[in-house]
This record gives sequence, C-alpha cells and structure tokens, in this order.
Amino acid sequence: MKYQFLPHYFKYIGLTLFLVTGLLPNIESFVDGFSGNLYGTRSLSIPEIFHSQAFHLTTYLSILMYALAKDKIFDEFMLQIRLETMYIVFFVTLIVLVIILLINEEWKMSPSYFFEAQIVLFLVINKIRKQILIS
Amino acid sequence: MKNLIRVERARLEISQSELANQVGVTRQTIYAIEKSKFTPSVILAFKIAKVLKVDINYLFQVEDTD
Repeated sequence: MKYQFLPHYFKYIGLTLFLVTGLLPNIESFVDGFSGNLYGTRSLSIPEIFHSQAFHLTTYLSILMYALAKDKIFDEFMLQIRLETMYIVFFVTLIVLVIILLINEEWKMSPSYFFEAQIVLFLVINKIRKQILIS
Repeated sequence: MKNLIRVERARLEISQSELANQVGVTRQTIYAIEKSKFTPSVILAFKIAKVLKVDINYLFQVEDTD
C-alpha cells in the first residue's frame, strides 16, 4: 500500500502559515498584557478579518499541512514510526477524553481545539519516538 | 527476527550509508534493521540481500519468538 504525503516543502509553508495565522490574532492580547492594560482593552487594533473563522481554519489547516508533509529523510521506517504514532495519539486522546468526562460530565471542548491538540500531540510523540528509535 | 547484515557489510567492507544509498533508504533505517528495532518489508529485504550478494533466508532468520 502506498501512502501519499505532501512534499517536504509543505513543512515550511505550513509552519509559516501557522506562525502568521496563529500568532497574529493574539497580538492584541499580547500588547494589552505587555502594556499592563486589562485583558480585552485592545490598545492595539488589527483588522477584523484576522478574527474570522476562515482565518482560524487556516491555522488548523497549516498545522495539518505541517504534520502531513514528508520529512527530509523519508522511507518505510519513517512511515512506520508515523503510523504507530497516529495509533498512539488516537488511544491517548480517547483515554484522556474518557477520564475528563468521568471527572466532569458537563465538560465540553471545541472540536477545533480537540483537533489542534491531536495534531500537536502527534508532532511531539513523533519527534520523541524518532529520537529514541534512531539513537 | 535476527539478521546478519552487519556481518555481511563487514565482509564486503561497506558502510551503513553506502548500503542505504544502494537500496534507497536512510542510514537510520539500516541501523534500525541491524539493531532489530525495525523489520523491513519483503521488497527492502530482497534489495538488501541482493546488494550484499547473499540469500535472503540466510540474511534474515525467523526466531521462535517472532
């Protein structure tokens, strides 16, 4: 079975998009905090488009792009590490979800945050496993 | 599954990188196979055996625990 992933340069595109779309909407809050103003004061104002749903969607897509891009070195060993990591991430998030719901029945999480957490978890576990298996 | 890649590499005096280049994988993959951290696909196993000029059944040996 062949698995089609994005070319390596998508890592750079994804990371750049993530930094731009992920950090830009938070600049206002950062400036508020940095200048000692109350949260939400918005001493600096950026165009409303940066707070739009489409802009947030781009952030998630950029992380996905980063996660799905091929590594510089990529072969069947790397592919196996990646697939095993996906398997681990699936069960880890499932277990965490069950535990949280057992603790707090009324707990709710936005699907987009859940998705983002899964991707970040994937990237972290994948990196750690690669370091362990290669060294 | 144990393998004799390291022994055969030493016999032919080729490095992990050279073997990796010839079979189209990374040096890390050859290292992982030698250390039994990764079991290669049948295609890769055949390629390695061909480069090392040995029989695949000799190069890769299945253990009872597999």
